[in-house]
Amino acid sequence: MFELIVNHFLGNVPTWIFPFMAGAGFAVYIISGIAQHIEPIRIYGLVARPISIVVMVVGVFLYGGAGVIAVQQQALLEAQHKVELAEQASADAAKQLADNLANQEHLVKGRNYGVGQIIAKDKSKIDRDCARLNDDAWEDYNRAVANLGSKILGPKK
Amino acid sequence: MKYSILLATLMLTACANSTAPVLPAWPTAPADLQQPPADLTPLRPEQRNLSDLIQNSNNNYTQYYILKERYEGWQNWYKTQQKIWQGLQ
Repeated sequence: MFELIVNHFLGNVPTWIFPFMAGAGFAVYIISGIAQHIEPIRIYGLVARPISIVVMVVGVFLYGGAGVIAVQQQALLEAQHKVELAEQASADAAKQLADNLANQEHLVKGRNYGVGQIIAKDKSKIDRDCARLNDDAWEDYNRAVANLGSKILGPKK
Repeated sequence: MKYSILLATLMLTACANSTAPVLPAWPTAPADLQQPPADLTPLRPEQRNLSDLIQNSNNNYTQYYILKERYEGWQNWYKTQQKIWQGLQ
């Protein structure tokens, strides 16, 4: 909670205020030191001195905090920029891969079509020596296709 | 005076330990890679010729080559995304 309040405070107050506070506190500290030696205003010096120390410490603390916040904000912006570049590179790589994959699948299907045409052309020659597949050959082939092992495929045709 | 400076310095050290989390979106794989694999096609009961078997084998081999492309695509996608992710570390 304290950190949240400090960060909110640091993010909404002009940064020049903090060195000004520290400088003013230091100036009042010196002046109050001198004032303690001047009898008519000695009491003011005694009162102002501890207050000036507190103001100076708070000013230094908040000035340092503002510097850290600025560094963190810069680091955050750099990290966000890096992530945006990485996301873009990722999307570009995925797009390139999708295009390459579509192209390769198109080629594979094209070759399948080419081989299919050759088989269709040679159909009569192929079937001349083997007019009808043996039932067991048909069943064993389908068993292999379905990866069924030794399970029963169904009634033989 | 010395103590106040020391106190201020000590208080500042707490600020330097927090880091802002920045995470990239989960990368999306190409739609083709996410399609379910097609089954191999068996011979239909009326397909009893050797040419039917060869034609069927041709189609099933095509399924294999398509899945091979997709499998290699997944490997390629993973390696690329891993490289990009490691670049963020």
